[in-house]
Amino acid sequence: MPEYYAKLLIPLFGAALLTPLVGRVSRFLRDALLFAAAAWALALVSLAGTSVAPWHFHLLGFDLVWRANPLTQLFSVLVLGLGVLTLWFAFPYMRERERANYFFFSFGMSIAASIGVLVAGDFLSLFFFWEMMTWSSFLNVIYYRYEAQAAGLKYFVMSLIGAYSMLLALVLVNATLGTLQFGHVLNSWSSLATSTQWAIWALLLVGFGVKAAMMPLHTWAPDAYEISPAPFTAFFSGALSKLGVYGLTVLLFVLAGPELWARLGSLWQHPITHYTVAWIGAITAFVATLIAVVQEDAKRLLAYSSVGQIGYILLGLGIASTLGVAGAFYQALNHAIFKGLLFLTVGAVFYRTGTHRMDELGGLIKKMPYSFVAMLLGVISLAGIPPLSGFPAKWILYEALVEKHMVGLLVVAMIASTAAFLYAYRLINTIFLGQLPERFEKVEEVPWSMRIPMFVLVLFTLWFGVYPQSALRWISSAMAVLPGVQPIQVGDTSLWSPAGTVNLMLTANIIGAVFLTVLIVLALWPRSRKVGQLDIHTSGEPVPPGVNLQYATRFYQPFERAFGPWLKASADRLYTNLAQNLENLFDLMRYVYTGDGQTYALYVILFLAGMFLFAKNLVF
Amino acid sequence: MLDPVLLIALPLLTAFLVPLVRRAWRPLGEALPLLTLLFDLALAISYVPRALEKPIVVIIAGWRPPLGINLTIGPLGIFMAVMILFVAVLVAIYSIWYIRVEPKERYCMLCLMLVTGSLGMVLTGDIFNLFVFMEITSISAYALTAFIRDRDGSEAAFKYLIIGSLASNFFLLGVVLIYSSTGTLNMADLAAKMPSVDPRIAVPAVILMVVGLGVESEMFPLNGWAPDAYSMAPTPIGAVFGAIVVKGAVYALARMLYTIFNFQGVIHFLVIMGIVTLLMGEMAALRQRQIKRMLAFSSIGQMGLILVALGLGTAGGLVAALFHMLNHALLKALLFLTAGYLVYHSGSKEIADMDGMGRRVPLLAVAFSIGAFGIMGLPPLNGFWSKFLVISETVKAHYVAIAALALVGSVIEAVYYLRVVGRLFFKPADERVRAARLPVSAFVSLGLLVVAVVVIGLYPGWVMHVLQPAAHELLDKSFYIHSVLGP
Amino acid sequence: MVYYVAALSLILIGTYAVLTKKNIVKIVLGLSIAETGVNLLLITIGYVKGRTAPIFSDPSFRPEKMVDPVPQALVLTAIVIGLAVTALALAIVIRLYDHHKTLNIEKIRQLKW
Repeated sequence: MPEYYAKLLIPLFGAALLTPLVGRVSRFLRDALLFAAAAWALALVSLAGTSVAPWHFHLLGFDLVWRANPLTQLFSVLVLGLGVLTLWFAFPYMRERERANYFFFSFGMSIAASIGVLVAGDFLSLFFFWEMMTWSSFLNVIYYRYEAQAAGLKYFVMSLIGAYSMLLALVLVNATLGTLQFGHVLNSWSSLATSTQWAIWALLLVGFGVKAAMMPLHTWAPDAYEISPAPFTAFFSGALSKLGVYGLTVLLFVLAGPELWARLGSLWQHPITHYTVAWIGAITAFVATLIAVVQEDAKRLLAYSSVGQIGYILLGLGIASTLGVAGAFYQALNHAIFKGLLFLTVGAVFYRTGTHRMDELGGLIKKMPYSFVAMLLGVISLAGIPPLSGFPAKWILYEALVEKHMVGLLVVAMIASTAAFLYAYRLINTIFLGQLPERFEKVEEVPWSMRIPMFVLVLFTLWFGVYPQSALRWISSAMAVLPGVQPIQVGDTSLWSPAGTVNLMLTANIIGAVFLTVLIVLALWPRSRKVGQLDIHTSGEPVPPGVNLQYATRFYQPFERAFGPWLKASADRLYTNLAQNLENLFDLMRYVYTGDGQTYALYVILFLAGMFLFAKNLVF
Repeated sequence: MLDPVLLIALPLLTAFLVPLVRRAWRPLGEALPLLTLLFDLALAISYVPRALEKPIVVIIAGWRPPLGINLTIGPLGIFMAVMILFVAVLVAIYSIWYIRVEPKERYCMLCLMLVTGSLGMVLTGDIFNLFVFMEITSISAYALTAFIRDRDGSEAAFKYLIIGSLASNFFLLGVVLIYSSTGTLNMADLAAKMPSVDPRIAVPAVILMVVGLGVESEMFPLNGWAPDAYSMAPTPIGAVFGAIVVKGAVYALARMLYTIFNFQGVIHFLVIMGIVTLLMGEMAALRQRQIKRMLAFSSIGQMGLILVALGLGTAGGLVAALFHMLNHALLKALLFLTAGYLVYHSGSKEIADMDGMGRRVPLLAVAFSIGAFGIMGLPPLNGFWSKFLVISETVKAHYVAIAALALVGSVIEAVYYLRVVGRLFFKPADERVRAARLPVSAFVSLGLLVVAVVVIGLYPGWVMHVLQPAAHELLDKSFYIHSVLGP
Repeated sequence: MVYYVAALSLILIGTYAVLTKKNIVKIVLGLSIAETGVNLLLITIGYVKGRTAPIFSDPSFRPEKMVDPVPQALVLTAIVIGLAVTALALAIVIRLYDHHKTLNIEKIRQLKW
């Protein structure tokens, strides 16, 4: 194994495998080992991840290759960066919890396997690491005892269905082209039959779509995100699901570029394959946002929000233009940052209060001010408001849609984006604002060790919001790897598109100036009087203690009334029923084994007779 | 250089020595089966390089083939022999302290007879001899099924016996038919003469033989015996069934179809039978309540996958089939051996009673999970590679729908295995279950199996050195004929 | 020819017994009969009218008067195997009767599904 890959993967896998053993000796040693491995890998990838010679090797008669290029570097840094931060957060988080060794083992394995996925330059290595990633993240989903089994099983079965459709696609490629390497597919793509091309597209779309939580394959995500421990959820939603995006990028731009795909048919000069993905993305964004609005559990809300945000990424990939792909990658980066941040803050709240149900929380702003700020900034970034990183991502996406005249998609995306405000506001309002329940009077802020990772993420979202060029240069070099699209041109100060430019530094300065002015004015001329929460009157009577002043339950009742009938249609229920019915059906087969020896003997004779009947067909 | 006949003769001899030696000096009697098998394994491994180079043909009693009985130790035979002996050694280690098997000497005798029979099956070059060894294997298997003298054990054994002897009658009938038209029983000679045989004789013969061997190789619908026998025999015997008896039968099936008959139609017919077997096995396993019965159905499912790969008729397909045979033998042995102690510690065969075993006996539950993950085909365990190869070769042979169905079966398999694993680790334990330690023998055998599973998973390449010549031996008829009969 | 017919009918009778008789002893008998049929078939194949067994100690023996000896060797083995199977089967039958107090195979169906 060449040096780079050995240096990258061996420490990661080694640390993960050692955790259960080292953890028995010393908790500190275990944490240090895991963290050092992840940090080392991060440093290695970000410093040397672009200029590495590929490693070709043979296994079981297949020609395989591992490689590293700017595209994988982008995603590796994303995975490892978020991995390092969430690990950091997890160390204090898991201190008091049981089975921390198990948790860190599966966490470490997930990180290592994700890097393996990104290193793989061929389908077989990809599939190998993909499956490892699936089972290790599955182990983490079922961390919370038996109650998590249903969610875990759902996650695993859906992942397996995805992985197996990927497997079918890859053996199809191997059977028809005789190669498994991504790079070789492009040249011989034209020799594939149309039906094979369609099959590869559909199978890989399902395969990667499951992991990206693309609708209608998303149903594992809410349950799995809700039930897994918060630091892992942050990594899961922020980084692992991005590998699905990476896979779709490989499918749509590496195996064959948009021009080659367009031969399968196009709609309005647009490859139908990509157009479908764009619509799936837009609908995912729209529907998931609507569902997120009516959730009562903060993690579940964020889970649906994740599904929705990844919808935007798919939309960007589906646009298949320079701006679209750039926007998709920007959104991927952005989503990793703010969704990691939001899950960490919810984790911080859970760490102190023991719940993430929003109707049980409220008024934590005084108790956990740092977490509040972190969540506020995360929410602003999610909503796509400058000067945070959410804005440039969405701006580029919208510009891409305008440039391609995709009006329908634009409308859907805009509506979804607006609806996202509803749930984003609710996170702030019901967790940190409003009335503090009495049982949380003694709640404190989380320790510094947990605040630091959150603030690092805050810094990143600010940085990429104010100075998007830094991210775009990186994205541009990643896009240069894709044979199907032109890399984006990056200016020095402003974002450019055919439809217009925007200078975010300027925007940030203006916003900062306004913000500062208001702050100074308020500080110099304090005009308001501080009002305590209970300092109000109801018809002249003082408020008795224990009255609920805050409506956190069923926050958006009018919304629910409007969309209720549609929200009742649930893909999840459909699948569950389908799975139940299938299981009942499959179970009937058991009754072939009647338990009667004579019946079995009869089967033997009948089989013999049957073979004699068909003897003519058997011999040729 | 020792005579290869010893491979078969030693276990046979020991089988009858065990009761005598036990009377004379008990400790030696305890250790004798294990020592014999270990020696046998070493012997088999020592033949590997030579067998890979050129098949070893052993002539018995001075009659040269095609007249006399001969052993043909080619790459395939030695591969099967090493696999059988490896599992047998592990089962022997495991059984040293396994509690349920009394009276010990009969148990050892029967096991050794079974090993003798299956070794004979895979090494012999004579078709009637194959039948005899198959009968030795099955008779000891019947007896082992009824070994625990309870009601259900006898019932399972009786069913097994009915179907098994019906099948062996058919097999013998098939042998009679081809002898009547060729006048020879030597497999190489048969292979050479078969093309000139009237298909009106050859086709019934091949059908009868497929049915005869299909019973032991768990082909649907001939596998009614399997769930009962697996679940009622002493648990280590479940491992023996899954890893030795069935594999021997599949070997014989492959030998018949590829070396002797080589009717492409019949070979491809196996693909359909395989996929049906796979789906039936997995579906039936889905809601089993007893762990061993579930494992038995899972074994049927895996045999289905092996049959699919065998039926492809390509070199890659055969390599995949043999690889999966090896992996399945290791994994099923691991699962059955752990299940034995799971049953012992929880005091019940029901899966529902094994809640929380992962906390009481962690090593056991971890071993079971590794086995389950391996069977599901998750990397980095050995099952991943062979399953991948099977699926890949199936698609390569243009059976895309079959491959998709096999993957459906795989998903079902994941569901029921994960349910058990989830219960083991995550359901709160029953108070009756006490924390327990594994005896050294179980620890060693399970440990070796886990190591084998992981090592093959991480370095799948080296197994190919044996598998490729073995597949070649099956596919290239004339190679086999020439190496036995001379050019 | 008559031997062929006889052998085949024995096999069919035996199989018929295995499939339809409810008494497990009769099933074992059926297996035994079918096996005899196969053995008979085996002998018949080697038999040539007017020839005799290859017993070399007989001074009046002449090689061209000999039938094919191989099937006879095979049959001996097959009979031994059949004996073992039957013995084992009967032992199991006895045990089944001990446990179930019946010989009806339809009543012996504890293991199913």
